[in-house]
Amino acid sequence: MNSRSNHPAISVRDLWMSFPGQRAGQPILVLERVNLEVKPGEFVCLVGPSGCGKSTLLNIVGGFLRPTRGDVIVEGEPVRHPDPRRIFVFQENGVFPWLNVEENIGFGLLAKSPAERHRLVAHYLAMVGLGGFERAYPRELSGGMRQRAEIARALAANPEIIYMDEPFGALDFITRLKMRADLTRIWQTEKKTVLFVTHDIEEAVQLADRVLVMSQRPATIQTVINVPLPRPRDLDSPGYLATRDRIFAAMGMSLRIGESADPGDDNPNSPRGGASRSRSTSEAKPPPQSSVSAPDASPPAGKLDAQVIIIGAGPAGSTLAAYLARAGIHHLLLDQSVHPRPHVGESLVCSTTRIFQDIDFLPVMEQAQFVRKYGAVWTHWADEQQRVIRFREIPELGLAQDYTYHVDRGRFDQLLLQHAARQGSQVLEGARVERVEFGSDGLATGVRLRQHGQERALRCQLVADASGRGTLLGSQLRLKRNDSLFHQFAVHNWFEGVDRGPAETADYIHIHVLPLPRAWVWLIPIDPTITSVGIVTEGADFARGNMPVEDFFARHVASHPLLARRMARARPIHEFSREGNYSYVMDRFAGNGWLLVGDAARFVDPVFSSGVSVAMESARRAAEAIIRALARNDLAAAAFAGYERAVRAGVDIWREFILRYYQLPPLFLDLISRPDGRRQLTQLLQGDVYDRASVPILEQMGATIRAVSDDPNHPWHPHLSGHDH
Amino acid sequence: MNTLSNQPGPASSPSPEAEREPAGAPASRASWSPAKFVLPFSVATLFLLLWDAGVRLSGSDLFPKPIDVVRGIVELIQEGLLLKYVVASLFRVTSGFTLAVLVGVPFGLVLGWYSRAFQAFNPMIQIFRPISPIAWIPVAILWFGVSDAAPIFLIFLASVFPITVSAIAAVQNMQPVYLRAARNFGLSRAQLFRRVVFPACLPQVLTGIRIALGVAWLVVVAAEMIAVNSGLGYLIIDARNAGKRYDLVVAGMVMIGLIGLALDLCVRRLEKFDEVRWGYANR
Repeated sequence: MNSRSNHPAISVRDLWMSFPGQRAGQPILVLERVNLEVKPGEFVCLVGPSGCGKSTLLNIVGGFLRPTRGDVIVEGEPVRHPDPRRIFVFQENGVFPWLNVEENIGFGLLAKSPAERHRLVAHYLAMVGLGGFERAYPRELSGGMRQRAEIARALAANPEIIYMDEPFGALDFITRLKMRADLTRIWQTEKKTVLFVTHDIEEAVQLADRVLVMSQRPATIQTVINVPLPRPRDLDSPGYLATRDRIFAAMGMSLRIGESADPGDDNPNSPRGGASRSRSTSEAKPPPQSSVSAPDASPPAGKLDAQVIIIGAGPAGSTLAAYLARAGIHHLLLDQSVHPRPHVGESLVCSTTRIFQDIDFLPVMEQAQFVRKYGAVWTHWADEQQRVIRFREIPELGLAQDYTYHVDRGRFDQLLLQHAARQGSQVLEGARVERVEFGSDGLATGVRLRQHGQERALRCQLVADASGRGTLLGSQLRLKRNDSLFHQFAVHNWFEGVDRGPAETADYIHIHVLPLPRAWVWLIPIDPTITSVGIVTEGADFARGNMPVEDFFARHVASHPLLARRMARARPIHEFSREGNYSYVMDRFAGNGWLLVGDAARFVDPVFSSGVSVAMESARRAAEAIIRALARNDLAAAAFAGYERAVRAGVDIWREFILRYYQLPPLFLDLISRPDGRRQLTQLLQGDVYDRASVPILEQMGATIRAVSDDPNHPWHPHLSGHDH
Repeated sequence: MNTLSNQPGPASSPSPEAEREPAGAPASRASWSPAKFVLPFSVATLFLLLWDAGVRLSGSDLFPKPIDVVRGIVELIQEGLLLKYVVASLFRVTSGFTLAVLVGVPFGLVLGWYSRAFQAFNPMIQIFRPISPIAWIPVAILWFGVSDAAPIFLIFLASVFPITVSAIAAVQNMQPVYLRAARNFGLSRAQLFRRVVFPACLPQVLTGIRIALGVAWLVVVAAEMIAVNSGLGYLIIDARNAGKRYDLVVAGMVMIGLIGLALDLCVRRLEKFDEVRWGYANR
């Protein structure tokens, strides 16, 4: 600690590094004139494009590599070799597989007495949250837990500095978020100096006091960005978003990608060198963003930025974009967040497969290895009978595939967006649309958006609002009406250790009907170990309880004995999320130069996993309407009347079906436990419900419900829920 | 709408985000199923029946039926020969093989670690390795006469190369991250070898040892046919020479097979230890 006051913890001066190239005499210059300083106790992130040399820099600072030229001074001494006073945490995980967790953490403590060693091991084991896993071997742990063990091993050695080389790079999105939160907590307790390499800008902003942005190879420190945000950090706060956007801008990618080679960049934050260099990179992963500053296809009317602007890159927006790209219509896809971002709604229905086929997305879905969904299982709280729907029994859609998928929405939405980008969509992430602009003739003319803290306007012929439950245009035009029949509320989380029941139906979606009216629980397999579980109930029910969300969750699970058994060993993975699923509908779905797609138009409590399907189907129909309207060059409201009619009819059928379902759950359960009933529910459960004549079962359900309600002695009578319509 | 934040929050106890992965679980939980025993026994029974029928149909009075072999084994047990020969064979294998492990493992680890040493010795190893131990039998008799030393030498020769080569490969294929982590903790050269290099190489070395033991057992039988007057190999050759006792010949063969199986099972047992099991993840 004596060194703390006198000099920086780490100081790098005029550092150069080159490696021997393919041919002798042509070394590859990796680092060029790098200078940096890290203060004692500071958390500094090094970010830069993949392959720029940031790991090389960290390895030099750590003493694993000798620089070609220049000095690294750590704690006042030049670095010659690795030193136990600064411990490295490796991306590929350096936990020793032949030692158990306890022995690994104690690895650097052999000089200490056994008692002291034991105390330190126990302390750091608890700090990283591995209590109970002392004797486990690394092969028995998940990737995240192995990284926790390695962090504990580093901390136990009581180093002054910890070097971390993309330690969370191999983990999934949710685990990464959790690891960052825990690392922040640990850093606040331990007060170590941390130098952390990452290529993930969000990660850097979530963790660091300062972010050093490196340029392309030969790399140097291009910009230093302070992150003066208080911890814990709020990922929605304007300060967070602004800092993030500054880094994007500094990296020259500035949320732009692609075809525009024009460095005529209107962003003052973006250094020219960085911008032009980054565009020449050939990264393995195609970044999903795209340039707006100079669209290559010149739009028809003078100063337009695109023919169509799509707001929101969820399933509806990305699907619409993919259709338009395939039709050669020049469009921009804007999203205020940067994918992947978390989202609920994880199970699909079969009718999406047709759309995947339309836009060539099916191979991507197959390659992504999402859990296949072959059917659905309903169980009622009062009995344990499993009523099973198997999609292979209902092949009417003419699909080759007898399954659909359960998806991690963060990943699914990102894949769909990337697919749209590959098809030719121009994507702009991190662009928050403030409002849609209208001309004096009432025709939508474009949008105003905020990006990197600056406002700008984009002009187009048609605005498609796919902003989801943000309902941007619906709110702006005051079209939104709440649907008082469905004030549903959802509490959900991801769990491990959920018993998914018999093997045959283990990867089906499981729906559990609870004793309360309109209350049910979904159970959706996300991967071999993670299961999404969510409770849906009436909003009033949740408000009435006034209890902590965990207790609320536990109480409802306990009300369904079979479910309670399945959840007996389940452990939540992150915080519970809750959201109001308040159903709504817009007065109009389209107008002069604009239309609404997906949840932006209408949202109904998605009991039957219909959400993504309805959104994508409306996008498909919107694409047809838009292509036709542009061909005729008539974008007035009338051009979209057919679109509105079809989508409204579809959602109305869904709504009615869901209402009937809620009115008398035993009726539905009875129908699906009989083959003829199942056959009649086919189209509904596949999600193909845009023609009322094709679903006569709705009338039958209505008739039965009326009969039951008129007959007080009917065994189902007590199950009727209050609302009728 | 971003509902996640990185708030550490008092409620969010740092629970690890995943349960133990089932990585090795299916292997360890080796589900007992009848098929596991019924199938191999059925095949063995079928084999014995075919053998019996074959001998009966051919009318051979020289080649034994299975039951004759069993009688032969019983006879050997009663005369006290079987135990004596098995012990003699096992003694030779154990001696030669232990010697090979003691020489081969350190030698291989050193060659794997020091590239100069590897460059110097590897060509010689590659020349000696393909020479069958059988080819060494005349040389062994010349050097050691008809004594235990000759087969022990042959077994050593047969098993030392697979062990050395697997130890070399184990060091050379070691994950660099383990070495870097170890260097970071400031280990001395000796500590590095003992605490990291050796355990990191152990799974692959053990695989080499298992292969070498199989070879050693093959060789002992061949060596005993020529160079000594006890052991299972000697039993076979003696039974044939002394009176065309093919029932005893086959009895010897059966014992060799059974003991080979037992040896392999023993070494496979070693591979189940936690210290090495990580190295066989995909088996």
